[in-house]
Amino acid sequence: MSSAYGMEFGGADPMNRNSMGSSQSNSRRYEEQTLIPVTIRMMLNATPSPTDSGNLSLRDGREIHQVKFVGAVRGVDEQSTNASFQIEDGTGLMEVKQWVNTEDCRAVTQMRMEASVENIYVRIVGQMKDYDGRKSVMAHSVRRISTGNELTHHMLEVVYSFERYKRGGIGASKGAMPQSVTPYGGNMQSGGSYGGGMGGGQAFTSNNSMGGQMGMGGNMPNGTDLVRRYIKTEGDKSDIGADVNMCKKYFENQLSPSDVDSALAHLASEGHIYSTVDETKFKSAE
Amino acid sequence: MAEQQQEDGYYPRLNGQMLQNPRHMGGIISLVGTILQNDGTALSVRCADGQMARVTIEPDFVGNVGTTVEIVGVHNDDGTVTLFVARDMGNDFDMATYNQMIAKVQNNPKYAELFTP
Repeated sequence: MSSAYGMEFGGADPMNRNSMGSSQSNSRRYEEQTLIPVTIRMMLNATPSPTDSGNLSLRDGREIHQVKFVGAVRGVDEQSTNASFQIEDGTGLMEVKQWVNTEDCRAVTQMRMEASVENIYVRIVGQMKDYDGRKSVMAHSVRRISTGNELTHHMLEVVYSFERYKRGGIGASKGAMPQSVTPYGGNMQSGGSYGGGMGGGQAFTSNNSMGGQMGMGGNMPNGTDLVRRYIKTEGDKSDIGADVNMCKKYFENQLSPSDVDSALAHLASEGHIYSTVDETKFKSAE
Repeated sequence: MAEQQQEDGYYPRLNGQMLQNPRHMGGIISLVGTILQNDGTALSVRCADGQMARVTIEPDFVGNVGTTVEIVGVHNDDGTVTLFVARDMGNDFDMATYNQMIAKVQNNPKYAELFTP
């Protein structure tokens, strides 16, 4: 899928990405740059995140920051400083607000006018807000779709992104396709949650040593989650456990040997795995 | 019509085959199709799966034959649809992919949490 996860700044106020409060490690900041394709239903089902980041989380566990979705304009109300849209996509109804700057250049104004027509489909990119249970989206881009196929594409993309998250898309930064992850991802999960002791909606805590969302935790070595599952599945088969070189060979198309070493070191230091007869054999502690 | 109160903005996307199913009758649905005939009182619409559907319209309805539209309206007990709004989906709309999307994805129980209340 060649979707552009780019951001369109339509002249409205730039997103303040650092609005999240004190202890900002680099990994947190990275995870806060995700842009997730959603349906309105997914947004309506979102609840405050179990971490106290102040963000909302989808029912599948992903924390949402920027969202994008496609829906039809049910109504539009233009004021001097903002425009307010009622958008529906067949899964629900959502209020979308966009700042209007009278100094916007003509292209921006034109884009907004083209989008402010009832019963057309638009693509919205913005940030979800929840004020006392009332949800809305603060959009920095509201753009009329260029073809009806954008609707179909978006719905498919929502499901693709959902599936990829469930199957553990870590290692995707090396261009790995989910197919190679599935043998281990598929064997492990029942409810789609990561790892051993965590419940479904609790996939993210502030000391997160497990996988991130579409992106990667910045302080965690590449492919840590893949290696962790490999060690668990292979290691559980014998007393000696999984072999490091076999692991490197298995992931040779996705991870470099040093990536695997870093992942092993990280997992061992966190206590998720332990070595057995020598430093080339590991078993999972979970 | 003992239909439970349908949530605002929610309407299942159907094709011709699904229109025969009483499950959504009495509620609001979405039907994407190509207008093949317009006789002033009703449209003949070819749905995403190729099957035909009949859509009742008001006399002031504007919709050219040959256009692909999304029709949102009431699914009647007799399998027809009464139109509320129609949205132009353009002349390059890929019906086959859309049909696959609604049949295998949106109506797939596995993804119900993403699409249905």
